[in-house]
Amino acid sequence: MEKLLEVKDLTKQYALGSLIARILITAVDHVSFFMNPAEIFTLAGESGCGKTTTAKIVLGFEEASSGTIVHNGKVQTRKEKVWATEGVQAIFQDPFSTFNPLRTVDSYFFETVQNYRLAEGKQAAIDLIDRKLRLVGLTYPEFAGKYPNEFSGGQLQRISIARALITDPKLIIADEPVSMVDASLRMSIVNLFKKLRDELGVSVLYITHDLATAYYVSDRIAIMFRGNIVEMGSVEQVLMNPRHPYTRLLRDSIPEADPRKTWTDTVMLAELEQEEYLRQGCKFAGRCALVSERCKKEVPKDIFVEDVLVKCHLYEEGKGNSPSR
Amino acid sequence: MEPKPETILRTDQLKAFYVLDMHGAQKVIKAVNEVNLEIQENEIYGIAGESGCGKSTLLKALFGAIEPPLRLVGGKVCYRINWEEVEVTSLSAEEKRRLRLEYISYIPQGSMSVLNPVIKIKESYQDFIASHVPEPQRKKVFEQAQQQILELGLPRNILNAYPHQLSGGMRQRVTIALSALLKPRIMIGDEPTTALDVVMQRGVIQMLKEIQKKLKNTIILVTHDMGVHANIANRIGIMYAGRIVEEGTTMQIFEEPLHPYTQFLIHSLPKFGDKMMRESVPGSPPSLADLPSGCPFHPRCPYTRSICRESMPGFSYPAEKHRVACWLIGEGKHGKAS
Repeated sequence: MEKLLEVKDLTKQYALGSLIARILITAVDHVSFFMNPAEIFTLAGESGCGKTTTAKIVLGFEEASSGTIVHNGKVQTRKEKVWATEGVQAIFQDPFSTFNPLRTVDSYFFETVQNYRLAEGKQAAIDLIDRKLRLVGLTYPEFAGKYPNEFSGGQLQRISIARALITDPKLIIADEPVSMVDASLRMSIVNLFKKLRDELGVSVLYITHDLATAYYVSDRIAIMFRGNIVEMGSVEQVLMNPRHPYTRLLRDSIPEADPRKTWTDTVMLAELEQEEYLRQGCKFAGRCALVSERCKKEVPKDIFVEDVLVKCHLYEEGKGNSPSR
Repeated sequence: MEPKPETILRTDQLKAFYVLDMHGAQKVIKAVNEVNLEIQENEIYGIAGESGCGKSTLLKALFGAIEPPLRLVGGKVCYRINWEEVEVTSLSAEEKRRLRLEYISYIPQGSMSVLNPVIKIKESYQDFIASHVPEPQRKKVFEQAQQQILELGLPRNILNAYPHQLSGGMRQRVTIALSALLKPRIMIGDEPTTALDVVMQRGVIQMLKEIQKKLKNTIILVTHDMGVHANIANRIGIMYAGRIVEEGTTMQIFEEPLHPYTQFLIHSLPKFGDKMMRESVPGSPPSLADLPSGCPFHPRCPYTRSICRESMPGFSYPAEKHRVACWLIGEGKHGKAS
């Protein structure tokens, strides 16, 4: 199967501080992943792990320091960015800041239709918009002429998905699409992604810190930590049988809606973000319970254990596959 | 009615409405409607509900911070201070100010705007102490603050940092430490973990639990995340459209939810190892300015009957500490959402 999107050795460095006391932070550090058609792929991690930066680079909002992005067999260049093609659309975190509060929501839809010349005449445009809105459970009459403040957050997020669907994209990049939506309405958004994948063959790059919805919706997942992908594979393998100590920490930190399963142990929290980014060796060494001397000096290699990529010294050859916790 | 001996905060038929005057036409937003709460000493009480159900307004009323356009329309809020019940509305502004931080403190949502960005955390601490502690003890209290910061696992040099140098989770923890400094009897948290990611959220919950254990005080926690409630709360009240519709111990709410809305809230959460299709609560929350007749949940409820459209159900008590306002339960028929 031909890959829809391939990201190879993507690196992005930011300079922090003044001209004199300057430090380089590698926000995205040699990240490689690919996406198949009709697949939901999750990038998960804490805030400040580089997942949003990765999405921005794929969308062309940021310039990568090095690395290549191949979309549909074409290499993305400075001139031809992925987002400039009709095949890729984006959905953002806060639906209230996606839309200008002084503009009616439908004007965005007509603008997109006009920009891509998707319909002749107003009636054809309305028909097209109505078709897309029905996919997300809304209709044209109930949204025409309204301003963003007349919708709830969940509705507005579904509207922004409908807007993304106008150009019939094959890839949707969704950056934390449910984190501003109430827990009780999250499933309506997440179920929508499933429907788009199954019925329209759309791929979704789902960026989130919410592993519970990630497990529910996605096919494959990559866990990011301080710019590195530390574990990547099928969602069943990565989340049900986490190998990297960081994935385990994330997995254990999700508050489960079951009062019998409360946490008993205490958790180590991050030091200053900067310190972790500048750490030599494995960036998780400062918080890892299974840390050894080697972790502090050498950066671990990417190792495959049963089709799952793990970036940890514990899994290097000759060490056995299942270290005790 | 005499309050039970261990009740520390009590509301009686509390009604707080936003009254807006729009070009002569009055618009009334019924954010808190006939709420009766009895919150005990030494417990963590969780309030759950969707955004726009009046949770934050209820907290404002509990905190005694009712300012126009919010109006106290009826009922009362009572604190028990030194074995005596005090009605909050009867206090003067100065008396209320003195109670804050010392007796009751507030942890706001999103700590970004709490700490003054142009002064060091240390100076914020000194400001707070100066406004609540008489001069001779200030130095001692500041030493206690330094001690407390270490005990709560925050880095020692945090006092010398500016707020922008800290991450969101760290700032939230500093805010919580600050609100616990003068050992208040009641702490009110408005979505303190919402903007944080999972690991930091766990750290904040851990810290709140630690503080509660040490001070043996009351924490009232509002969040829409049922997972957080399962982990921290002793009792939970479910709020819908300005009313408490169900209340019980955490076990009762999670094991035997009786109100259809509570059932939806709990069953809509995804779980690990279970990829079964899950549905959101159908429809969207009602506007508080234009509430449906009868039970406010009836337009979204799968078990609606004619009586639900006509009048609001009263509370029935299926078990000790468990109360629920639903017509289905009132007649002994327990509906279960599949």
